[in-house]
Amino acid sequence: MNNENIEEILKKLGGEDVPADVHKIAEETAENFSKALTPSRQHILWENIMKARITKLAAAAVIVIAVILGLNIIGGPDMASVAWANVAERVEEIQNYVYRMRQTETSGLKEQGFEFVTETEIITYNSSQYGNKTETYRNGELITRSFSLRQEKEFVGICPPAKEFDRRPLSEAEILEMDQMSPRKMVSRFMSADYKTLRAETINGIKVQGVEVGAPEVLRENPPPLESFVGRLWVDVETELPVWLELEFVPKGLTTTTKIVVDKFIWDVKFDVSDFVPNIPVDYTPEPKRSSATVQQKQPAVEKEGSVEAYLSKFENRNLPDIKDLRLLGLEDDEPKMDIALVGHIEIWKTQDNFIRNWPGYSEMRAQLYEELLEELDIDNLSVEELVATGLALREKFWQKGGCLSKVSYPFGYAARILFEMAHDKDPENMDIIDELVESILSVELVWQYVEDSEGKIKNTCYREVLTKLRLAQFKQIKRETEQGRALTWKDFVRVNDLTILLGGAKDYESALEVVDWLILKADRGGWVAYLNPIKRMQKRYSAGEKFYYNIYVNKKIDVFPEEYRYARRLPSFQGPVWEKRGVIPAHINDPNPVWTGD
Amino acid sequence: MKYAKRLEIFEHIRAEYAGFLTSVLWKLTGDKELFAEAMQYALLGMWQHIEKLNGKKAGAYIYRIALTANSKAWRNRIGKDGQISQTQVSVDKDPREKADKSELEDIVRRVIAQLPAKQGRAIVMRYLEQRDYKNVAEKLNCSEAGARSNVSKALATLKGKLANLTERE
Repeated sequence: MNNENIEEILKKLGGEDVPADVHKIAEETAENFSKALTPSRQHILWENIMKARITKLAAAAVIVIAVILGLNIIGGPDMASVAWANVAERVEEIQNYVYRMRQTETSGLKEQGFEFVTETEIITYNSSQYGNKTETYRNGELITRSFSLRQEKEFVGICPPAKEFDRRPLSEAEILEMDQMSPRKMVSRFMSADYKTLRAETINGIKVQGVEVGAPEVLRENPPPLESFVGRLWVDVETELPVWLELEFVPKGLTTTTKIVVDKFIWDVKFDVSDFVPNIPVDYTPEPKRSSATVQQKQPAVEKEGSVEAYLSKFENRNLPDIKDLRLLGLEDDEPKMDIALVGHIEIWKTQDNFIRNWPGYSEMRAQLYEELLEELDIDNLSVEELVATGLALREKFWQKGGCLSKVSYPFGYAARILFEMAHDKDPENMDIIDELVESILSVELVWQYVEDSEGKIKNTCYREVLTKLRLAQFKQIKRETEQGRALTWKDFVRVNDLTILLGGAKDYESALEVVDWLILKADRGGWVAYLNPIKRMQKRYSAGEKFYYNIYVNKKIDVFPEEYRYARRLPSFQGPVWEKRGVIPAHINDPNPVWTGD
Repeated sequence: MKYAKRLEIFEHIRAEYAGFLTSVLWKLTGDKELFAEAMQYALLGMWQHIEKLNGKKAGAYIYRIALTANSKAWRNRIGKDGQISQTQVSVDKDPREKADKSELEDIVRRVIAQLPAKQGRAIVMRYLEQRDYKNVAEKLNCSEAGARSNVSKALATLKGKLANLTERE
């Protein structure tokens, strides 16, 4: 087809009259839209959120929490009052009780929208005679059942998801700590503190009166440094026993708010010794112990942080071009941010998937993006160095726009990939450029996604194809270069380790085992002996035709969960945006004797 | 801006550009279902960017909004493999309408939705609105030669994309 044909078709399209029924559709659509208009925030929710079932649930969950913590408490001026002096005494008399503790950690609203929440629920059976039994649930799943046994002076932890258990002696210090953190002691500290009385209320049908304390000493005798603290205690006016206790604080230097609510007290219950017998199921195995021998016998080159070159360090201090005004694919810059809480990792992942599902695929958009980048940034005339710098800037813009939690971020992630592909074409042997290309692909492509409105999962073929090809090429090059005398580096380990995971994920166990054997063979010379434990487990699993995954990077910052889940579902080499990358370090540097987990 | 004020501006702008949006979006979609979808996206775009539409550059923004809305509507219809999903093809089309419609016109429309923003505007102004180059240049805020260049680039892009598409199909 030539230009004249196209022009003819275009002219024909231009000359078409709009049929009367199309005018009618336009009018009806506009009228319906006008009717549906509600204040902007609700409109944003309609457009962006309500399509996502899981996000709706998250919104509902937050509202439910608000109701539990606030609206369920009904005030009344004419209620009886509590003799506060009796409360601590009454509680001290009680030897056995049960309570529920709910802990919510909230990241606060992030710059790119969303806040991230982890919920933990613990049911505790407390006995002055036998000790403590706790059942911990995270996001509804039983994570651990643990026993701190006073008479046996033993701790037993059982982990149903991993079918593992741990037994160890319980020290006197741990027993003291257990007592100090009990609600009974906390109530006593409330009563000793400088408290103010709150007005009478009703909680779940029980008439209560409350006190509020601002001193963190209520939390424990020597409290950790805190940015803020408030504690409230409500007591049944009839029994003078606690009904509800809440603590809200922000640890010093962190931004995560922790809220603890203790309720569902059952005071003065009868326990039997059998209530505190661990009963470990026969098919559970002991939790792997930390072995210091593996790491410390050798002198790995990667022993200290300073001696490990950061994986994506080559282009780190580049001056990045200013692309703040760059628009791609006509997507608007001022996409409204969503201030909604995502509770737990599954909600984070499902919300990501709801966005990604609506992104067009990379191959579909590549040509159009290439043309726009050509027009806007003249990319055909950029040097390799300039391509890399621009690629880095585009990738950071992808993250600034919300990464996989955004409708408008993907053109920048795809654009970064285009630039690194071009740089790779110009300098194919440069392994640092391949690393950046892999990182750019990992930024926008997840290993798997949930199927819409389902627990089903779909695998991303990009991992089996493009990424395996890139890492395989690097592996061959590493082998070639090291045969010619080049020393192995930490980066080589990161690259080859990715390849083992990719091949295992594709169930090509034969090829995967060849690479694993190489990693084991070169561990001493390469300096990654600290990782022999998981590598050998991988070898065992692959030999049995089973998949395996483990992380070689961890985040050294302690307040990154649950937001950290945003960066999951990628290869072990993945570093993420600059603000994430700063906290990421190799696992053995974070902990010289890491406990490896794999699935 | 207060909600009532936003609503007032929105209704005003909607009335002013209703004819333009209907005409351009119909010519770009050629399908009633797709047209309704694009129209909804356009209205949503207008509502979300109402502040920008209340100024001197309102006309330029309307083009941007219309073309983005058209791209979104087409993108929803086209799967990740670049093919039109059979499940999303309108089932209530008049068979005669379907038979009469040139398949090539549909392909051209689909490809216009994938053009870079500036080229898309140039094509819409020059052919769908049948403006002369002087007028296109004014609207695109460039010289007449620039307008010709944009149209020419757009035609070349269209040609390339059409060649790719017809090869695949």
